[in-house]
Amino acid sequence: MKLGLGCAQLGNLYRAMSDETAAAIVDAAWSHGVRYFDTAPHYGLGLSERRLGAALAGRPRDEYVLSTKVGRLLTENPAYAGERDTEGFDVPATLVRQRDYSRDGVLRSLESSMTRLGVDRIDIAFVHDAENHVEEALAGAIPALIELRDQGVLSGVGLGMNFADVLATFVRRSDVDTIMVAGRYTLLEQPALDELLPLCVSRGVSVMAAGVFNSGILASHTPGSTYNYADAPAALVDKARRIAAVCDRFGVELPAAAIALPAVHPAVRSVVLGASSVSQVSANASRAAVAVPPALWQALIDEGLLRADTPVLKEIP
Amino acid sequence: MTVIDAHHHLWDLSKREYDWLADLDPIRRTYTVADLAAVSPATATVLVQTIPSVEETEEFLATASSTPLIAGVVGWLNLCAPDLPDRIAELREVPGGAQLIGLRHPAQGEPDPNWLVRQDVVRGITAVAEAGLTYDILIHPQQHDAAIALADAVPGARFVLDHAGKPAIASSGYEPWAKFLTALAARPNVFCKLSGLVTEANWTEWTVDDLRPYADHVLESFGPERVMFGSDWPVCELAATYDQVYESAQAFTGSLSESERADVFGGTATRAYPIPTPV
Repeated sequence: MKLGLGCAQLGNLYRAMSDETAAAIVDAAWSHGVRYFDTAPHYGLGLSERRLGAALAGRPRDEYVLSTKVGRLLTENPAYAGERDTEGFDVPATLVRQRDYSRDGVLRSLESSMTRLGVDRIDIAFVHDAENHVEEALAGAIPALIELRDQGVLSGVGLGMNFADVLATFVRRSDVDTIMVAGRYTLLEQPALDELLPLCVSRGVSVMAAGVFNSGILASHTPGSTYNYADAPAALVDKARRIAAVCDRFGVELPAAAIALPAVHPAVRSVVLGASSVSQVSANASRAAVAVPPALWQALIDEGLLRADTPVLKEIP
Repeated sequence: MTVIDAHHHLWDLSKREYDWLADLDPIRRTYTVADLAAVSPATATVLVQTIPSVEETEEFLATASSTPLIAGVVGWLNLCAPDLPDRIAELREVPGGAQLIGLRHPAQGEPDPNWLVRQDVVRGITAVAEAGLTYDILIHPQQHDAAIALADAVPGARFVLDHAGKPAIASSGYEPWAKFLTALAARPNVFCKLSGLVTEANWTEWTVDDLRPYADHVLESFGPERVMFGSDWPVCELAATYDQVYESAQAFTGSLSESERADVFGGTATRAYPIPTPV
């Protein structure tokens, strides 16, 4: 199992975290064998990138894979008067996010990310949340990143977002090699099977699966109450409970199954999990080590809780 | 005392990737004959294919020829190959070829529920039988009917149902499995392996009592003279040690007579398979 560390929490997602905790989370992930780290300027207006870079400093650069995102340029907030960020991160709003999917914007964004991270190269650049900027990104950001890939500056280029259909559009219309799909290929829902994942398999595009707990509903064995960054609809909570009941029969905890399902898809290169504490890092590593009986997937399919076209059927001999 | 383990595997990660092991971290390591000898009380064993690969089968035959413990190999050939009889003959010529006792082309890997009764498959299984080899049936529940029809379609063949047909023990799926097993047991040319039950149960919390109704039904429907013990090691290690599997089989057969137990732990295997060396 190839786990990645998602670093939104390092940017004080929802609540503040100390610098020490942030560093300890990265250290713990490293000691559990995690060698892929994903961040973005969006996460805490650069705080996540600064903390991740500080925590990784001193580690051999060739031993880990680093991805960040482009599409939101961080610029001075001229009107700053002590306000906090309004986009989910507990940080002072000293900077503002400026959407920019142009060639120039992307190059500037990568430059400033490298400065915040304190590295001289980024491995993978994802165009972030471009669902309302498709044509702009196809004309500006994507070709600019592909040029960097051709020059050997980047090893991977793609997009990261919550919308499987828009990701499929990008994969169809451009030469991206890696995508990050958040929340759309999970134990709870598999819309990415409609077009995106088969397309990725046929075009050899790697998939980083993020949001595999659907914002918390699958993060504990007793289903939680948040979905897609908001309160979960009752029908979904009910579905998660029924899935958990099937997992129970096989002695598998719901979060372990939630990590395993995307991991077995042939296009998925990494399952990216966030953590807000060291103990969450350890818990996720243990869950990822659980071998899930193939019969569990079949039972979920038989009960209509998992799409029948989910590629999970690796029968044991 | 003679103990035949009629179903186990080996694999060597230095030789190749095994797709089916990709997400089974606890057993994703090389398992050797020495590992087997360290855990198994068996005096003879049957080594069964794990992947659709003639190369693996040839390796297994070579291993069997140099390992007295391994009495025979259930290998893989493509059942649908029109020249199957020639391929069987070729396989018998490789080092250890005399220890080929059966073939398995797992139906569970074929999405067609009626794959086992497809014309080319029936023709292939007929060729297996004519070569004096046994055919191991490994199926998922959608293939129950086809397995029964196959036993009727090739009455001259010897069949072995692997892992008792893989009942859904974790989901308490006694039916429709039990009815299927009764129907298949009514075919005299079919034997049944008392194997693989722990990995159909809850891997972390199974008990002997969870498995017992299934084991009882296997023994009642086939009778001990057509039931043989198999450890399914190292796959069993996903849920249990070799010892635990062996002890649970001892528990299931505890009320049988001595000669009936001798069938389950040896005699049946020698009738179900053309095991070449006396054991």
